[in-house]
Amino acid sequence: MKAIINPVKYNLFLVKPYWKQYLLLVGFALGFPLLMKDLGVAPFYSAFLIFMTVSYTFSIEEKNNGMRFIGMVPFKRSQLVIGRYLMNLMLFLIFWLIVMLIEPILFDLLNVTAKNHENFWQSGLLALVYYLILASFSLPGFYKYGAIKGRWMIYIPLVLIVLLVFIAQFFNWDSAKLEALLNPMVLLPAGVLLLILSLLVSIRIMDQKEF
Amino acid sequence: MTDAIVLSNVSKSYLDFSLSDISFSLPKGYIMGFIGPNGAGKTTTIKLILNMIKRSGGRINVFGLDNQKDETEIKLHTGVVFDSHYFFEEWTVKEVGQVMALFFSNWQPALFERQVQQHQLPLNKKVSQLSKGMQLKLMLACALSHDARLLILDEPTSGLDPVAREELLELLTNFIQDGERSVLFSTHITSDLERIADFITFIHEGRLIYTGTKDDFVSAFRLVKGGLEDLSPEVKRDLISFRTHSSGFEGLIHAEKIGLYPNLFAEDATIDNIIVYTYKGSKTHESNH
Repeated sequence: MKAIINPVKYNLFLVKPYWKQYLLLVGFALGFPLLMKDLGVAPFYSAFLIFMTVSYTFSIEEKNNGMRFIGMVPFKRSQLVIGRYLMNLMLFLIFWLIVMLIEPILFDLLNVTAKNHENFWQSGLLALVYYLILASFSLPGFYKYGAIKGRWMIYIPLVLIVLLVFIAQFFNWDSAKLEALLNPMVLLPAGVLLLILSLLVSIRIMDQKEF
Repeated sequence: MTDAIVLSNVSKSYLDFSLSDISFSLPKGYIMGFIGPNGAGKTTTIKLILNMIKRSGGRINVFGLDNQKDETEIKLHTGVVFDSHYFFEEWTVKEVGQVMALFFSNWQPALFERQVQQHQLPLNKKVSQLSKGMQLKLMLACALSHDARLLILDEPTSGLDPVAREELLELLTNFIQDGERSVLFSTHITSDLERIADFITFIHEGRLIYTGTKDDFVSAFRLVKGGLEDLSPEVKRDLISFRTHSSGFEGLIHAEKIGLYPNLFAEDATIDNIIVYTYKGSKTHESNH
């Protein structure tokens, strides 16, 4: 168990000096929906903003010759990759949960009339799927090309989403079909599977990597 | 007796550089100087030993174990010091200790504290605020706080002041005292090796030039001097390389050939002499072809 938990802790040590940025992002994630008076978009803001931190560990390592550190510690590369995936997922879930629990309270406290409040938890689950897809595509990219050069991988899921919207409009899909397609209960396990697949790809990339 | 490190016919190919057929062994309880000019392949060899890069051929054993199959077991007992630190610059010295403890199950916090005190490292200072010498000491403190049986040092003394260098050499000499621990020490500052190394491995342009005891290495060559009139075609042919000045020449020759030229003044060659003249010789050889 330590073989997995300790790499998670190592990643937390890497991002420790950036806790203020994390808090700021949570603040933005909580603040924007209030300004837009839309509760349904809150989880998506949190997902996208927190997703921006996924590259932190990679860029910190790049800047600090971290691969040399990785090269001399007695851990398997696969354990280090699993640790990083878990840390990112864990941080996201914490911030996501904060937003999901606090946002409705904030709307109530500030007496803001919210749009889409009835779909709040469904939006939350879809945001979770959205995060899983973003992370699944970008993490192998960061492992393969680094934090800066690998950023283009983020656009793959965005392009896929735009494509889906385009297809839906082109074929005039009705709302029932769209709802069936965007059912979080189906998409969530698919997102988890995609993340596991992404993890396996990242382990393979890391195993072949030379530094 | 198990050797600490054994490399057998190790090779690694890149587009513009290749390391070919490198074989040497470092017995337990000794210090090996790993030398060669810039770009000779020293760091590549060290990275191969640490499995940071994959070998194209050959075999590497550390403590009798395969360096790829038993990588984690080997690294548990290996301390590594590079020419520059490998820590996150925002970490404090104390945090470095905490992070290392995550990875080394044999980490000894009390020993780390003692090392930190001994090297006068300020616990709450960030790595970025430490001088180069202090950063090196921090790497050493880490390398020595998990019961390492092998120290691998890649150019650690470059940029160190003479006092810090002296301390490092003393520390390495003490490290191998129990006869169980070994040091592979890559450096440009060969005067350090003259003092502490038992073995020398010399590589040049990715090829092994020499591996063996330091005494045999030094005694295998002689530094010869003479007047310009002594620089006959035969002498030129037998010299590994030479340089001329207004009143004569100085060059390096294989010791067994010195008897052929009793008129030349011969003296012991230093490791520096051997590296410089071998390097120069290979360049002359290249330009002649």
